[in-house]
Amino acid sequence: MSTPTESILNIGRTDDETALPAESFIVKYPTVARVVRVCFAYAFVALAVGGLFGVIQALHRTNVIRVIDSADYYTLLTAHGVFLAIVFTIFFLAGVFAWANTRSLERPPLNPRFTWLWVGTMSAGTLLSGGSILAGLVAEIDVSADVLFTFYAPLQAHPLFYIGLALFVVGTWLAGIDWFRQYLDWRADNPDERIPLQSFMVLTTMLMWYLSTLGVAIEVVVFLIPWSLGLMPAPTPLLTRTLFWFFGHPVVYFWLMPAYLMWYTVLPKLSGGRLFSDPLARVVFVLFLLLSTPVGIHHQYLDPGIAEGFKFIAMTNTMFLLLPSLLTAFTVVASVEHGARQNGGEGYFGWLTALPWRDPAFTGMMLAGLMFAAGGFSGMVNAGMNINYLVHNTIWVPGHFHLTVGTAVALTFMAAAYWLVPRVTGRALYSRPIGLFQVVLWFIGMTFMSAAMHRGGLAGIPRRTAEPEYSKFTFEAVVGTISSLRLQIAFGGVLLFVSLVIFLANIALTAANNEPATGLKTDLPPALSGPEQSPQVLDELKLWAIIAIVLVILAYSLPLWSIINGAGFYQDGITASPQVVQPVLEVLI
Amino acid sequence: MSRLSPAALLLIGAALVPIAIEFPVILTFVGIRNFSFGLSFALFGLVFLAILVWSEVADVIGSSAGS
Amino acid sequence: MHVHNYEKLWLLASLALIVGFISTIVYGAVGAGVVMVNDEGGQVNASGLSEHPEFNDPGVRKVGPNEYEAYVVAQQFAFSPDPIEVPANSTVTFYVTSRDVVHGFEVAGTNANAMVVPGEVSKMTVEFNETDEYGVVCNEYCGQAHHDMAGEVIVKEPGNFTLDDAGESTTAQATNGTDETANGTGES
Ligand code: HEM
Ligand SMILES: [Cu+2]
Ligand SMILES: [Cu+2]
Repeated sequence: MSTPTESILNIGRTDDETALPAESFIVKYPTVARVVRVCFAYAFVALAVGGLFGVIQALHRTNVIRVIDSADYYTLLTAHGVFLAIVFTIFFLAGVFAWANTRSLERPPLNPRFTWLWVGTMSAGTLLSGGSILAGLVAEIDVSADVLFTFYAPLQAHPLFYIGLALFVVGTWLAGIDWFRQYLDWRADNPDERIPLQSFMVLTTMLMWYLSTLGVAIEVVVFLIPWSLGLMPAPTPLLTRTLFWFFGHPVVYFWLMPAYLMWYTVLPKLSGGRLFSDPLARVVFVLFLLLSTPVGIHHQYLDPGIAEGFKFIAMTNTMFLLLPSLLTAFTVVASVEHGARQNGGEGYFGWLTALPWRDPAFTGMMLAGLMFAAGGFSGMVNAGMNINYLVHNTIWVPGHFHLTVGTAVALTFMAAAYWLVPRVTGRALYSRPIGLFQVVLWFIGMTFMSAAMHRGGLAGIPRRTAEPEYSKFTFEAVVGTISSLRLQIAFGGVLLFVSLVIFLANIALTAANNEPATGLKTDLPPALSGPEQSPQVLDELKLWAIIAIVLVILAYSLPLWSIINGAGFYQDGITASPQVVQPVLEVLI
Repeated sequence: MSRLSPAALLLIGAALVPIAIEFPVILTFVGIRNFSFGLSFALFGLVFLAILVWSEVADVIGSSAGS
Repeated sequence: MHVHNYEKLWLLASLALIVGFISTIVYGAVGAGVVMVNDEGGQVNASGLSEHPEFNDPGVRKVGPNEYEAYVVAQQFAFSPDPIEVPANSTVTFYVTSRDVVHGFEVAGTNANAMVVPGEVSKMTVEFNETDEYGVVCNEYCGQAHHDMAGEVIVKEPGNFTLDDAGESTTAQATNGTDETANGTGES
């Protein structure tokens, strides 16, 4: 078999084609491999642009180096949020899920045209939204969207921004349909079998996604698009905020689930062992489906207009949402330990030395998991309804989520890329030592940036602000000085950016590498306790979907009703605040 | 021959970073305030250097003892 | 379903941790009387604040022996009044709303912190025990000069404190429950 090489993304061909074994993914499913490559390409371009803006922000808001005007800071911050938290994460997810679903169901999607349809829809959405954000930097174009990735009305972006977002989400919906059709096709051939684990993870995650994107879809399609086009009045700010957070919390699990998929199904193999327990993995994903959505109000602990009781319910659900992550910590460590003992590791801690630390894919995922544990702790502080008042909207919060999405997810994705890119390109990884250095550098950079952000937050320094200080008062650090915290943020940001550049270079050189990838033959090993040990009911996707819907109705119907009852859909007195360009990109060189 | 591979040194060095960052905070619990981050980094830089030396030198001594 | 013994232990420990967290928060809410921003503030017309009986004249009013109410309006890119002056040893209930977009009202370094949503009134009660000065930051992005939006709370010696305008009102006017327990104390 061979694939024609008409485009740069079509790199699934090495000079020596015969080197790729017939059972390797790229030879069996060349079209899917190409889909994965396209998704990864989008993800990495978004990562490059977002990361560049990240380091500019880190240097600007700490007053270390300034290349932009403070008013443009928010254009970059919007791009940073959208490109990294939406485009990078979700395109990478799409690639991983397309790979995992196909691999575990052992069949390609039914109709490649449909597959390209969702890739195209997501791409179009990205280009529209991304373009309308970046247009804010160009004086000549009368389009901008400096509304940050939370786009709270009545801040108003150009309609293209909202239309692009809607298209992007529709693209992900179509992708989910594609994966479900693949599954139904498999089910027809295997009426009595347990859903393969990876496919189970893909499907439960997508069910969670359908349920949770309902909030943002209604917000954008029913309210924001007609309003930005001037067809309808401004929607009630509290209502659109609440709809946003209906989606805004579960989206964090949408980022996390592909990382969990890698931790559960690939990491054990990398460590030389097998997943500890397949049933527990299923339980974890079902819990995420059930609990991810009815918690969004925990982002609104400080909002007026929402009764304390509703906040309390969200808090309780949030705390229970810790459970699947705590279970994951156990399973992952147990599986890795099993792997180490297979490699001859011994002793209480001695087994740690029997792990493949030189493998950037392994080490990257382990460091990501370690940082996730730290992020979990600061997350518990956020979730605590009353302690949240100390840190809400301070820079503590970016400190927290750079550990979670910015590392647990992003670093796992980078590590996964070191393993997966050779599998979808057929080309050997350019350099493992450089990869190892890169993931460790990310860990170090993030330690600096995130720790200092957490501390700055305790001193009251707000997030989302271009200036390091105010004229009227100064912040006081609990430990150390504010200026040393600033330096640490800037220094960490620079290390992260360097790490990112090295990653992208390593991947680009891999894509151009003429050496064929090796080790493509081996398949992922089955779990120690297999699916046959788990109750059949875990595979009843319909049942779980219905319970998830009921939980969401319980958590959200009263708060939404009370908002609508109090303020209506279109509250009096709200006027749009268009975030129009101050059309200057002042590059002070 | 050194005891630690470059990869091991890299990981040990990385592990020292969060410890160096948290050290001044830990000290506040025992009443020592105003221990600067710079001092903490210098301290753990020395620790790393010591590990490096141990990794290179201790083995030489070990090998002279006949291993 | 086969669950390993260690797994069972871990599961129980995790559940205990979760229940522990929830209990401390319940204790905080019920026992220590920490009050959150909620729906008591009610709604207002964001473009009609000049006709509102209180927000038409943002400022501090006395409503009881040591009790005050502060009506604060946030708008791009300032708070009014600024500074907000209150006496020490007092309990101040803030009513904060926005004329335009979503803002934040954070007394820096304390847990007196609320979102300010146009059309809604954020109500929070704060105890100020000692004379001090606090920065107030808008901690929600509200437009291109968001980073300039800040104010001050000045806690004065009770002897030096006077209400500067006709905003003085008597106890009878106390609106919905000024006797709330403190949400955030002014101490940092
Ligand atoms: C080169 C690496 C990175 C650097 C230097 C960096 C730096 C920053 C800084 C300084 C902020 C705070 C801006 C502020 O609140 O004023 C920020 C915000 C943010 N970052 Fe990053 N970041 C990096 C990578 C990432 C990654 C990989 C992700 C996610 C996958 C991410 C997601 C976010 C998000 C969602 C925000 C919040 C945006 C908002 O408040 O609207 N960042 N970043
Ligand atoms: Cu959340
Ligand atoms: Cu603001």
